[in-house]
Amino acid sequence: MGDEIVKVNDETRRRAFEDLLDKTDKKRPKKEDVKALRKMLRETPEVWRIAGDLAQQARLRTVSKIQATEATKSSLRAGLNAIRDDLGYQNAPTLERLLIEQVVMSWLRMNLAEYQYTNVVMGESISLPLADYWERRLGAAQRRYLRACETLARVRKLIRKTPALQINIATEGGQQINVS
Amino acid sequence: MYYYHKRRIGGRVVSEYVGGGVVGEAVALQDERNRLEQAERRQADRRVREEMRTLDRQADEVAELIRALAQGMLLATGHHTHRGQWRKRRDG
Repeated sequence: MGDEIVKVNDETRRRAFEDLLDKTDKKRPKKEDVKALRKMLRETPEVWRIAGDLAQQARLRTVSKIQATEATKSSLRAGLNAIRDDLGYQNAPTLERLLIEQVVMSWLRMNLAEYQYTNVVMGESISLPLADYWERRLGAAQRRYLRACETLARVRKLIRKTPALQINIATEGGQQINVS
Repeated sequence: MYYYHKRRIGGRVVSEYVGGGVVGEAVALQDERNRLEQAERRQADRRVREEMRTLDRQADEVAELIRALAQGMLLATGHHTHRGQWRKRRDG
């Protein structure tokens, strides 16, 4: 019962959020709609933390599913952290951190697809539909990775010229965080 | 007892006479082992694909959430899309 109420509330909130995205994605949106969107982003600070946690969980789950030795997995995890740091994760505002997580995740998925594709193709003779399946999978992973990089670059370019939107996210010490 | 070995050639199944006795039995055993190995490989492949589908679904859900948040943040900070490109609103 409690779970259902939470789901209904989440669904209602999600719809309201999408509705505001539609209303504000215009050359001249109504000021009250932009205000409502800002308010919603401010008043649901947990969503930023949840998105970050989900991204990290998805990354860890993917690494754990890779069929490799623990040493290989450890070095992969270290590599992923290095990419994250290279992209400036530590000093990035919250939104950029999420987008960096997205780049790291899609890089991991692309490498996993390459690894699996190589294993399948280099193995015994495979059927054309199977080769086609892995090729399409690899192609999709590469496109997803490029898109994630482009989004990060675009958002960085746009957001850094804009005054930050401040949102209170529950952190140790409860300090205020700039999301953009 | 005779054994016929079946092969697929260009989409057609062709039966080849192998023989009877010990030779027939040995080839029959080998064929059975090959069939089992093939079935195991197919099953393992199905398992991998199923796992991949689950991981994909989870990753896509997270990606969708992040995309919506980024979109919300850009719109809230005075941007809009024009023919698929993000632009700063003049009054933004």
